Amino acid sequence: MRRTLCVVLLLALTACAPVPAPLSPEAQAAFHATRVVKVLDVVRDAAIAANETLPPVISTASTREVVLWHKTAVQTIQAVPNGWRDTVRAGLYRLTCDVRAGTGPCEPRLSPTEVQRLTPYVGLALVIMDEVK
Amino acid sequence: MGNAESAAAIATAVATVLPSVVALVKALAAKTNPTDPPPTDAQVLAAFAATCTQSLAADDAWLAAHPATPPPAPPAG
Repeated sequence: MRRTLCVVLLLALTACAPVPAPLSPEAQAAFHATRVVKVLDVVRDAAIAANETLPPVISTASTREVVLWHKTAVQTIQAVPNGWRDTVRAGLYRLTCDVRAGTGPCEPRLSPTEVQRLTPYVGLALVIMDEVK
Repeated sequence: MGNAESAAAIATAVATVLPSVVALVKALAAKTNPTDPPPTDAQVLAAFAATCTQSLAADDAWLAAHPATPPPAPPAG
């Protein structure tokens, strides 16, 4: 738990780092996208860690949903480093039905308890996605 | 708890936390050292590519270690 909090704190601090000045627009997009990929890693890693507890807090089937969502999101960011935002947010909404990520009809893929377990990490990801330009 | 015990508890807590705080401050100071040359475009793009590659590799590793269970076969007959 303490390790997770340290990771979240350090990630939040580094995510707020300003873009180095003389970068091209393409490199600036990559700079921000790198931070988003790292915070999405935190969401995935939190799900995997919760799946590894005894008994698991998040089922293996749900963890698979999270890992598959993460993989799609990272592939999207990798393909479009300056135009991923709407797609990744929509994917996060479909995964969690978190009202901070989107609106509209949503079929939950995770149980309410599992969503609750991931809520702090999802919130952090949304904050950083909103921070980067 | 007496004043002496409280002071001892506070001193112990500070001694426990202080090294972590010092390390964090040093890390942040090193990260923002103005004498460091800024990264180049190539370095930033390479870091992005490496981050994506590592992230996807971790996904694939987990998925390979946890294959999806097939749906149960219908009972025979």
